Amino acid sequence: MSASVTQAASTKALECPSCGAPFELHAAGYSTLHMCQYCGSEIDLTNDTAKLVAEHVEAAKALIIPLGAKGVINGVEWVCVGNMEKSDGWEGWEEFLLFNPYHGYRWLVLTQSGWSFGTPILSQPANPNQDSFRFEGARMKRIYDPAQSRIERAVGEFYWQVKKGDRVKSTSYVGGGRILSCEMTGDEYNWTLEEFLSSKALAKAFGVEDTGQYPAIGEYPQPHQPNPHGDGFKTSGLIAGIAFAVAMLVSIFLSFEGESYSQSFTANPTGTARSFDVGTFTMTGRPKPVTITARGEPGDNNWMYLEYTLTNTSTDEEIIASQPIEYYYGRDWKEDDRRGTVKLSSVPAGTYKLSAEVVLPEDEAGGSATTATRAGAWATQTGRAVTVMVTSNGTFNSHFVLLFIALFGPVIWMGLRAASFESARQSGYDGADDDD
Amino acid sequence: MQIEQNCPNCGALIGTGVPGLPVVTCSHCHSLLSKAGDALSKVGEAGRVPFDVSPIQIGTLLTVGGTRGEIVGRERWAYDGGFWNEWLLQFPNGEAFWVAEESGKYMIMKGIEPSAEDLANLEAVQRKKNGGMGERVWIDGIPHFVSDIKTVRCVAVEGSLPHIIAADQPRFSIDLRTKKGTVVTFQQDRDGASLWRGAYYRLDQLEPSGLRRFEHWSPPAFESAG
Repeated sequence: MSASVTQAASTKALECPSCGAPFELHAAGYSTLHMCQYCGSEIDLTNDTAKLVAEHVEAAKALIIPLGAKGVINGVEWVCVGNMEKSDGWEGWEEFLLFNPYHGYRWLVLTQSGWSFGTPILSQPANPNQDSFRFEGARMKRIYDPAQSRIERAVGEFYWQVKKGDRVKSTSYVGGGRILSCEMTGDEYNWTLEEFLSSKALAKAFGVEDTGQYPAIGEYPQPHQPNPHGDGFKTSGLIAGIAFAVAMLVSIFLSFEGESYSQSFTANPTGTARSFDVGTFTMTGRPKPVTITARGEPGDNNWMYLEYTLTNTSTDEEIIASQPIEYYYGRDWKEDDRRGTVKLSSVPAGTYKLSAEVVLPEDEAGGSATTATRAGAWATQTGRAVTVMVTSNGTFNSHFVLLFIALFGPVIWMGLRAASFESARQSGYDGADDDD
Repeated sequence: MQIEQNCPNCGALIGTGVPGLPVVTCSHCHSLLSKAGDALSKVGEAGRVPFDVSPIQIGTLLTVGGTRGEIVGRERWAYDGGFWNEWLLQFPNGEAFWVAEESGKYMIMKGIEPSAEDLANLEAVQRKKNGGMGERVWIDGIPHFVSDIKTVRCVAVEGSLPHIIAADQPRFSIDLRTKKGTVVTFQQDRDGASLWRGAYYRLDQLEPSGLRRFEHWSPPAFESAG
């Protein structure tokens, strides 16, 4: 005993005057009544001695959190001093009274669907006749209309003269993931702020068995139970949204950043020079798309086409592609295909040379006489100009569609699950049947 | 510097308490002692404060409204079905508040001067006894509703006190609340009538230091160093 600060005892040992069972008083000076856990007798503590008020012979019942059990919640240690079973005629629930000499009292509420940690609040946040109000930045909406509940059973020590059969009127609101409940006794309103506590956390805190929580027990989630799919929905939605935006930005960025070469060439139908080089460029990293855009003047009601050869300068591997360029029109119609784009989807890393060869009608073996005749004058005299541009890292819209489905498919699925959890939750509220 | 004197009743050496407070108790024989200058004289029994687990003790420091005060005395009150502590919080300037300790909440009570009209209204409620429950009473122009009417008695006192109050002394008390939850307590005993306005605090909001230590409980993280 070297402590310089003297420690006062924290409990007082007493005995039930009816059945003789020993019990420890944990909140001496606050507790006014003890209900014997073993025989149910009421023991008045307002005087220094334990005085029998009413003698009962009831069977002892094992409590989920035994009286005297200690547990740490939110960093503060609590001892369980009392337990009440309550009912509103439809449903029953249990309330455990917790005590710490420095922090006062708290409640643990076990409903059909799980647990809550209740803190009495000192202020009057609203008039409990209101249907909704603001509390600490959250809109609180009424979920249970004022109704009477009855104390069916009470054991342990209490700071008021609790009695089996006592009735209390109460109402509840939910908002911001928390419940505010109000007990109304005459003109006095006692508010409690209830925070959701997982059954796992509760079991771990007090070293007791896990009771489970909705959906393992109960018909609907608690009003403040976090939607297990809601977070997944929000998170996956956010991730998908960001990923998609990044993909768009990257594609824009890369299409600007990617190498781009352009070359113009005029093919003279009477000459023999038909081929030209567009450019040489290097692709790095993963296979990426290459876009080749061409614009040409085949002449009126005429055609030509371009044959592209993309050659890997180190392996001599070739990728061949072609692009028709046509311009036809009549009195009231027109087919203008003087522009065309070819996309090569995944070109592996390497240095490439793109060359193009222009093929004109005149080059076709046994070229159509009619074409030659019809286009003759112009064709023989005019060179056919083409401009070819090659861009590495082009974007593919079809890839965006696939990306969109891959990213947002799970989001939609989680959204549906989250919505079904919410509708189950709402079905537990008062007035739920009035909807629709 | 604490001055010590012998208790006129049992002879034990005891502190003479806080200057300016006329009453002190003997921690040995639980006599209620009145101070007249340097002389102590026994005026009654202080009673024994029953065992409790209140975290407050004489010497605890608390801050209210930015000013730090010291707990110098306590009165233990009881009624049919309940009890509570009222701690005397003394400030360096001589001002004092009562700290009523109820189920882990702390109501800081400041004395207010009732107008003659308010006093008459309250005394009218007092005459109705329990019939006055729920009645509306105007205090300072604000409607208050009677939430509790009871006769309480002082079980025991300890430390320094501003008045002679013997064990078992009865007091008539009316609690009133506004719709916003402000509490006013009207008290009438042999020393006359007084009116108190209370506001609830949690212990951590009072920045306590020098709290009582208990076996099996760690002191709270919110306790301040001095």
